Amino acid sequence: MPSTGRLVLPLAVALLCACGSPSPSKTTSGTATEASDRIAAARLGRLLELAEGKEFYLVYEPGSSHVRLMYQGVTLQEFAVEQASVGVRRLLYIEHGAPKRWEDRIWDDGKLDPERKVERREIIPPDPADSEPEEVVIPPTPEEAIPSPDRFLVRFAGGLVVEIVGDFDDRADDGLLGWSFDRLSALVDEASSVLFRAETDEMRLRLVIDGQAAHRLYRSLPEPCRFAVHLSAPAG
Amino acid sequence: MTMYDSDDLESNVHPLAMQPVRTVVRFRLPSLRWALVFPVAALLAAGFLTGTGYRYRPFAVMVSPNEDLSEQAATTTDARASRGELRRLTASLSQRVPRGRYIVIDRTNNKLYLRQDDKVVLEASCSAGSGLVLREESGKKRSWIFDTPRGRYRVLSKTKNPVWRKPDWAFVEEGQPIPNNPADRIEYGTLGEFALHFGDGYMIHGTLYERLLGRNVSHGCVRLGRDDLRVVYDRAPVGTPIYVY
Repeated sequence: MPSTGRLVLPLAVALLCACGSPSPSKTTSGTATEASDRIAAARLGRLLELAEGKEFYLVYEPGSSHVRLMYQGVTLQEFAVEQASVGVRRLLYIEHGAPKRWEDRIWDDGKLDPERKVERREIIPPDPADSEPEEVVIPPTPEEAIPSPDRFLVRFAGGLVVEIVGDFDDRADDGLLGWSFDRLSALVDEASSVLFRAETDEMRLRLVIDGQAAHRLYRSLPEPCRFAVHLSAPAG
Repeated sequence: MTMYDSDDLESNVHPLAMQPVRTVVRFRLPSLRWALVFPVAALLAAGFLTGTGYRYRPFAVMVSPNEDLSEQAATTTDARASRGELRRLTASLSQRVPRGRYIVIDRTNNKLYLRQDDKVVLEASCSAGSGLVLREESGKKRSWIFDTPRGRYRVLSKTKNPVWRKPDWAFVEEGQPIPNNPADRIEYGTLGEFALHFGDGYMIHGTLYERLLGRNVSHGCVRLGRDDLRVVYDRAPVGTPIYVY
């Protein structure tokens, strides 16, 4: 029969070891929390950098499925995103990966494609000697003045293109011919983008939003603008 | 009438014309080479078109926020980030968001929004700057662009029954001489019942031409309909931030 002294010593050593060093699971959990905090801080830091800037910016939040037009930290307009997808370049089925950590960057110098053309007309003052009443001209509505495409791109310096696609559920169906034409023109646009704009169109983020909202955004998006993705805080 | 005998005829006609006409129709099966080339070319063309462009995948697949936390953490710029840092950043961001009401003006789509936090309290049709250009033909040869300026402003003052002190451009636009007497510049009733000044002579005010709301017609001010103007005047105190984009 073993003596009590021979049992106590290993037990005491085991107890000391258990108290003296943290358990592996606790360490992992602590590191994960710290890492999660740092990532959350980096993401908030990006938002703060955008808010401190002088430019307007778009923020896509996958967590809430919204893309927001913002200025100095204030939401000016928000658009519900129905569908979001990321497109990577491919040439004859050979894919190029998306730029590393593209979602952790601030993208600058966003410009619209097709370009938004605003006509600046000049006022001709009436001749005081002319007694005839001048003709009253009703100016066009914004929809008439700036025709908006159903699908447009915001091209950022460094290779990201945000593709805004308007969803028109209520629009009369153009039939198979209309669909195939749209599809073909999109294919040709994408192919030419890959072939001739490899430097500037490295990847695309396609956001499908309501059609009327897409038209409004095209008409009023200030240029140049910035862009960032804001992912929700990682689980700690 | 001229008569020819058969010998004459034969001597005058081109010899080739006398050849019997033979129509030869040959049915050929395509050679094996062509039978391969066409489908392969078609396949290549289709493959080129469908295989060149962008391959789209759902956003969630392309980005996984919780993937490889330690690697992401190592690449973050601020290694000392902690709970305290998080709190500081959150506070800095929230300081930028106006507490209470603020006004957002979409100068292109001619919309004014009175917002409280994340909610839209009022959405109104307005008229922002026309974007037209006016040049002075004589005198100082000045020029004006009638845009509503983008940016962040504040309601600096509010006026009931505002009086318009017509600036020089109003006279140039009408082809009238610029008066020397300040009293000749005063116009009553043009700006509606209320005006909210936000700097550099720009205001949110009423209009005599409510049928033009929703169109870019103003000289840079923001025109509102009578009822909407009353709501904005009542609910937006002096100091209310105004964002124009």
